[in-house]
Amino acid sequence: MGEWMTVTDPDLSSESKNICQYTSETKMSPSSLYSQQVLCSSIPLSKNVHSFFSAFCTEENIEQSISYLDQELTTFGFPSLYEESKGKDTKRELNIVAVLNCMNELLVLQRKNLLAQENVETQNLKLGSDMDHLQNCYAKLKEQLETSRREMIGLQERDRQLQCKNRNLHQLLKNEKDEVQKLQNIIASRATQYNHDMKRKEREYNKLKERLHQLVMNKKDKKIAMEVLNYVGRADGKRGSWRTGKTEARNEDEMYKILLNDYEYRQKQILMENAELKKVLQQMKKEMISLLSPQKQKPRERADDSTGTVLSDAEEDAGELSRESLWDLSCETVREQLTNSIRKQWRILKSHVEKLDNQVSKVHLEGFNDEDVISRQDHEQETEKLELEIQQCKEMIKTQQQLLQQLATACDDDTTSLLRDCYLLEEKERLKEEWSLFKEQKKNFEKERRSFTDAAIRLGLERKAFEEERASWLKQQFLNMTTFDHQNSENMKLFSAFSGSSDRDSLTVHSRPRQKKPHGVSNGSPVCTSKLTKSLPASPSTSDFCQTRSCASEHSSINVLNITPEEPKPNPVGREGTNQKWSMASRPGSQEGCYSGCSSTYRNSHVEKDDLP
Amino acid sequence: MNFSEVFKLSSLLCKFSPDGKYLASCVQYRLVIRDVNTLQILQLYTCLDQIQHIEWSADSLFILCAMYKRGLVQVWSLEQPEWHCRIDEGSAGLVASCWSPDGRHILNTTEFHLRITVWSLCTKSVSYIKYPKACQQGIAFTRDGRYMALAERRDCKDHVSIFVCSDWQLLRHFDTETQDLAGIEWAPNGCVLAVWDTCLEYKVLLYSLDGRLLSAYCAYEWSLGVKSVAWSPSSQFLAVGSYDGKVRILNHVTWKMITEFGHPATVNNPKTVVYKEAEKNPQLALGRLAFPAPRAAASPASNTESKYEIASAPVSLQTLKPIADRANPKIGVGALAFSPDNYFLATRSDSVPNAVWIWDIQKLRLFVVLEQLSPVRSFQWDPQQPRLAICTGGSKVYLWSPAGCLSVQVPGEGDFQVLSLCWHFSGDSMALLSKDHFCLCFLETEERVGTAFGRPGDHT
Repeated sequence: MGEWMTVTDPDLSSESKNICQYTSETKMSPSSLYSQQVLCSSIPLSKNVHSFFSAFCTEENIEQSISYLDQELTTFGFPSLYEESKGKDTKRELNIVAVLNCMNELLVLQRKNLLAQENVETQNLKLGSDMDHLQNCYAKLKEQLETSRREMIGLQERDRQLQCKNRNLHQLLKNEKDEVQKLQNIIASRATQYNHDMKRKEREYNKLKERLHQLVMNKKDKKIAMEVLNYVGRADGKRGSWRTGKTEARNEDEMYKILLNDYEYRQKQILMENAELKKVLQQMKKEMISLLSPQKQKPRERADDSTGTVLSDAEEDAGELSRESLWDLSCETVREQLTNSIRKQWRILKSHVEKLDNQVSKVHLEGFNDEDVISRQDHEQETEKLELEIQQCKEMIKTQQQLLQQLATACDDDTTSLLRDCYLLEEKERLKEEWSLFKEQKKNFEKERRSFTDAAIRLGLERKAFEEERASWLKQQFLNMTTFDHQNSENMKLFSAFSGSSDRDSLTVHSRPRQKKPHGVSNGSPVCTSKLTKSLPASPSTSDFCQTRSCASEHSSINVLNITPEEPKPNPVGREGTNQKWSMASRPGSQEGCYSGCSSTYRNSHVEKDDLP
Repeated sequence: MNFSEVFKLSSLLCKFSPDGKYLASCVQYRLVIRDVNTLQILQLYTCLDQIQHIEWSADSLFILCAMYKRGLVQVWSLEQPEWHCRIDEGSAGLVASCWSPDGRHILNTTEFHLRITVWSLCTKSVSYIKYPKACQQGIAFTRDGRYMALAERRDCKDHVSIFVCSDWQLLRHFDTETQDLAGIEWAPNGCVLAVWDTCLEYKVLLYSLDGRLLSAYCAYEWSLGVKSVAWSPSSQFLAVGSYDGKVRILNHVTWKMITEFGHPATVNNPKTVVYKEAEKNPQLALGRLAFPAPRAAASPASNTESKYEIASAPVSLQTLKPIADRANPKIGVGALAFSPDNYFLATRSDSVPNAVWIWDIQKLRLFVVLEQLSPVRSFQWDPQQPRLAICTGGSKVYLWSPAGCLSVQVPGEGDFQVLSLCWHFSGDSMALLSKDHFCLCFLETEERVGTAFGRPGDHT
């Protein structure tokens, strides 16, 4: 409440204070309903409430006051305070219950009223504050309105002034224009006048000159004379001739001669220039034709219509070129032909260059704009493919290198002997080229071989001990396949090579000329070799297998199979054996046979791989 | 480079004979003929009054001395010193005198351009040509000396008459479409006559020898027009310098403009070489100059030597603000000259008085700009090779060739201010003229030119 009081004006606040006081009072004393009502209605009454209240009911006037109250209450719609009289005469008695009810009701009413009053008061205050706010707003807006009005007036004033100025300027401009017009007119008139005057003056001047001339001439001026000691001869030694019609005609002739000479000279120059230009054009044309014709072969293969026709044109022109001698005869037709053909060629060249430009720009676009999803995908696929290829190639190279090493160390390796004839038909050409290279290598190999045989002789002594060792080793190897290491395998190979060479001298000698080829083949046909050898270093199981296989095959060839292998062993060995035989058989055969042999071995190897666990 | 001793001279009258053997110079009323090689006086003629004009006849046999004030022309013969001839124009007066190309006739223009009198040295005959026009360049002979074109003014209209020089017969007479003809000039081949209008109107007309109008060229209107005109020696190009500061090159086939050369105050193209003359300390690098050191040392200390420096690309040249309210404003291209081999064109823009612009005619672009320390008085091409001599009224003479350029101090006591110069036809020497002295400058012969021009830092 205190907050609200600050908002209201002083009179109101004091009033509300009073109200506050009395309300609290009334709450304390429940019997002050009437006074409350009175208070609410009239402010001046409030001052003497107590006196009035005390004066209302006295001992004497109980009856009157009760009746008065009854009357009042009944008028307000309350039930009567008196009991309902049974008889008309009987004095009505005060009904205590009714009084109490009435009082209760009054109290309830009073409370309600108080509540309502409070609400109303708060609302009133609210509204008052709202009112204030609105008044403030109003004032502000009024102010704004005032200022804007003032502004508007100012702007209007300025506008007016500017318009005024504009009008003035327009007027000035008009005046200036008029002035300019006037001045121009004046200038024009002056110019004409000047010209006129000039002409007049000139005429006068001429007249004067004429007159002067006459005077000077007519005076027979003695002074005008030439004193010469003696006349000299003409520079050309001739004597002066009389001026006649003849000389005039001669002069004319000479003039025209000079002019003609000049024109002839110029024509000659132009002709020379033309000839040179023609030469350049012809040369250009020739070069164009030669430049364009190979490029047009391809489009023709593509059955491109436009270039096809163009090509025919070019051929036609080429035909014309042969009649070059004719070109000097008639100028105009030839010129037309030449220019036309050059134009054609030029158009072709231009379109070609444009095409190239387009291609280049396309490539650029593809290169730089990765926004295109499809192209990007393509690109990625392509790169993947290429990477795969690179990988393959790398592997191939690796295997080839390994093979080479193997060959260097063990020429008679059985796997290579398998692949001896495995080369593809179309690669034969290339292989032949590599032939010489391998010849050199062969020499090296033979050198090595020699050293190896020496070593083999030395090793032969150790062989027996080694055989024994090997037997035990083989056992071990078959027992624990997985723990086999590479070093041993190499030793193994070495050994096998020596053993092979020692035991099968005749066979190696016999097959030597052939051997070179298979080496080349093994290099040249990477598919087979790689498929076979790739697995060598890759996984221990396959390497083991290969080693065992080579070992076994060797054993089979040497026929020192003293150890009976486990159950899965004989199978590959048998196959190897058959394969070997078959390839040996196909060796002397045709190339096709070789090819088939290759493929078959490949298949077999593949099958073998599949068989592996 | 060697210099002769200094000789006396008056009114800048010093001329080589056409055959290159003699050198005529005037001192007051005396005419001195010297041998070009020895510089010894061969003849000395005394005229009746102060000589105002001298001219060699084409065969170098005669020389005429004009005394305009007295209306007199005296002719001297080199072969016969005792031979003399005196022409008196009397009361008609005299304003110009010249030889006809055959060297046997003298054309005298009387005062007020009343007439031109043609005096013959061979016969007693005298011819008169009436109505010559008083203009900047009214008489023009073809190079072969056969024809003479004369600008005339009759009935307030411009005309051109073409005479046959051998007998002074009128060959053609035609009126030109000009307001006020200012000049005529034959093409070197003698077949085309260029006629240009007064500076108030840009108009160049080209007439054939037989009087046909070949072409008319007008670059713009309502502004000051043609200021200078020059034919290329091959007759292939006509360069027209105008008051808008541009040179327009017309070709001889279509008579249309090929290109125009502007003369802006800043040179931006880095390909253009700009040589700036700069003062040099006298102590430094004396040996650079080709003339002997003792003579250079003898030259007065007040004359500081100068050298050329190559300025880098954007070069701004000194410009002259023209006075707008005076007649003959210093704007426009006032001087034009083609090199004898047609390769170069030298120009001077009057609003940039210190600079000489050399244009490459083959490439049609600005080639070199030379900026001097003082305004360029005159320049002349070596008749034999592309070599340009420039003088600025100072004590130096400047030479440019495609190989480079150099400035040479003229030795001698006192200040020798080179106001004008003229080449000997061989290109071996030139005469440098000051107000009252002249000297000869001998250039190196062919084999030594290379050393003379071999300056370091020259462009290629």
